[in-house]
Amino acid sequence: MGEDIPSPCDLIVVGTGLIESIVASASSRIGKQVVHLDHRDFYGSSWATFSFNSLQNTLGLVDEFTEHTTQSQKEASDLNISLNSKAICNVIEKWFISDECKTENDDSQECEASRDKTSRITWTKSELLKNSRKFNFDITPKLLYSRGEMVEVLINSGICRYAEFKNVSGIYTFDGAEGCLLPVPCSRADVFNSKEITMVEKRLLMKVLAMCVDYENKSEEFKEYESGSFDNFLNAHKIQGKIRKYLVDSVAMANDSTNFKDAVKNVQKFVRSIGRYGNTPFLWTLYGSGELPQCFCRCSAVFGGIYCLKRNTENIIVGSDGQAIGIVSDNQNLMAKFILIEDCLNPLAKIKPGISRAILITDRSLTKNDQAAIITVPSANGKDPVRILELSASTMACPPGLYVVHLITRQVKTAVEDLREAINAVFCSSEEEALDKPNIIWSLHFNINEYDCPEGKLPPNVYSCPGPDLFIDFDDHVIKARNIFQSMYPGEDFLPKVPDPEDVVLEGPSEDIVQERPLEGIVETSPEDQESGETRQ
Amino acid sequence: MEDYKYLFKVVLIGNAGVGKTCLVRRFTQGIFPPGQGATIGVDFMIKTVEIDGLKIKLQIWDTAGQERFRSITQSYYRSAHALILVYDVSAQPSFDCLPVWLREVEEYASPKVLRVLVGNKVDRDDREIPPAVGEGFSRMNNMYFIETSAKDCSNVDKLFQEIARELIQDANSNDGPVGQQDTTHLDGAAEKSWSESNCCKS
Repeated sequence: MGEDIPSPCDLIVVGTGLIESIVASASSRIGKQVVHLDHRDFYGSSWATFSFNSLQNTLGLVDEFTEHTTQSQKEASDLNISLNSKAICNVIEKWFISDECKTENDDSQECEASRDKTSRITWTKSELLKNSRKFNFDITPKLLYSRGEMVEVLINSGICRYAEFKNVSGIYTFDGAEGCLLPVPCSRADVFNSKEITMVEKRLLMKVLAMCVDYENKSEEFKEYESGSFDNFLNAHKIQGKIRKYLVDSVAMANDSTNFKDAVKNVQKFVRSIGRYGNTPFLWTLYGSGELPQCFCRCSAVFGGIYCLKRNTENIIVGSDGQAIGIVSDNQNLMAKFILIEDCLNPLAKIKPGISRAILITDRSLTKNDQAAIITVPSANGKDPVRILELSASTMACPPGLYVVHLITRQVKTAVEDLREAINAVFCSSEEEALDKPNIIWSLHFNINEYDCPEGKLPPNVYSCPGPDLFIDFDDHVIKARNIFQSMYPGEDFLPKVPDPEDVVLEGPSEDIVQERPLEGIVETSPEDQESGETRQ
Repeated sequence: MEDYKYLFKVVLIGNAGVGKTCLVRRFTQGIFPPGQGATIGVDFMIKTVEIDGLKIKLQIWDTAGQERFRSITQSYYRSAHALILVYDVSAQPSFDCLPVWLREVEEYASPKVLRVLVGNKVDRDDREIPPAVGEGFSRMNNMYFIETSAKDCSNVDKLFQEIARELIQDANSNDGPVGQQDTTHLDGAAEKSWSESNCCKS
């Protein structure tokens, strides 16, 4: 629109991922002039949520993520913002349905075969794509602990008014030996009503949970375990069988090598989060996790932040004293006191294996879940477990009758190889007639890179923000964002509560309004004139 | 607790400078022009209107300047009951951009959202868009249409009154973009302390 971006400003943020967006909002909130840019045409970077079409376009033209390198003249001391790294790679899309309508013959077979009450709707490829907008696919799906850092920041800042949430309705762990899902009891009542475990196990489980919650007060009792693994602690307390699976796989979000302190921290967060909003500790963001970076961006904009997508950045301009003084963006010099960039744009960052991901569309729930469920498929030999999030239509992830399933694990090889075992264990392949398992209709595999960023190599007033990680929640990123903010603006409040719009007293003349007088010649279509009645139904 | 029958979320979009903020301020506070800079930190404005004896609370959201570089967050459109697309009758470019705005609406807003086209600044002498052109565009795109002036106040109250009236009808026929049932709002939940509900109180 031909407008210029203000320069100089206090802070330039490049990339609209989660940490960048949180720092932008916190800085605008204390009155700093923030300019927030992204070369992409959507918010959220590797945290974005997409409709079906936009996902295919974005990942199909991997260019969107590939970032263009524009050569421009630069001083010798300038750092080039390397825009040639792909944050997302190894993308493989697969359809398990055809585009043709099923013949009647097929339909009748299907009907005979499925005797259970929930009849399966048969979808075709074009029908799915016609519903593109009803899908919300997360690149980085994450849950919120009801008493975790993210929820507290959202409430304390008032930013929670921009988003709605769904309670996660079920937590499960996969029992490889039995080939079935075990529901993990959450509340006290769940534990005592469970038919899966014995009375002795129930007492033992409660005892361990109570111990972990009370850890800080009784650290003497834990001295001998503190330096060891969580496994070691469980062995010492003779925790075996199902309750061990509950504890390790779901409550502590651990594996056999997780250290004791990290596991206990997770147990505490889990237990304390139960009952705040629902029966499980977790919340899921309605319309997808990609809403959250946008909520922070909206807050920044409300407090004067300037937002500009589809805006390239070429260089960081470094002064003779080694401090960055600005950036070159679409051949314009933008000056700023601080600069924040995504890791994947950091010229010094080195790609390392990150996350293996799959997104599936399935035709029925693994868990009879009508909201969101988390399932852990543990891996042997110290490998990271596979976390599965199953989302129903009520989370706005997909049209009714379908489910969106996210799989997440640490990248060892490629997403397809890393997740094959878990998918085969839980879902049926298209040929099988196992009716109790969901069929996969469509799948997308990809990897998200992580980055090694050498400390102390960037100018001291340039910060590099990590992208998505493996954790199931946002809390580490909230803490990192707060640390960056506090290092830029020591002693300032981090995201204090915004005034309630209903309490805001506005400045401005208070003399009364010019008297209302309708102008002649105003055209107004009356509701009867319109066909919109039909189309809005 | 204030007493009202319905709460509706109304969002404004349109090019920078077409008078979106002025419309909101004129309607909610009766002031024009709004003091510059006063919008900092204001997320949305509230006004309660009365329609056929029913109290209706309108929550009116502004773009927070994100339209300047065509960078409105998608989440801005979520759960809006009505969407007001504003152009300036004295600025052809603001009218020419309408199709671009509508594409964004199609992509991100609820398909059931009430859509209203507003030609603002009819007080000006240098009109470029005749009323019939605006009306034609609204018909083609199934939108309501009204021309307003935030400056001399014409049709401003009427605009919002009509929106409230339409939304009540939609709500009564269960036809509106009524939001998700039983979603959780973080600050609205009746909290139980963890000691009451948690699983390992002994």
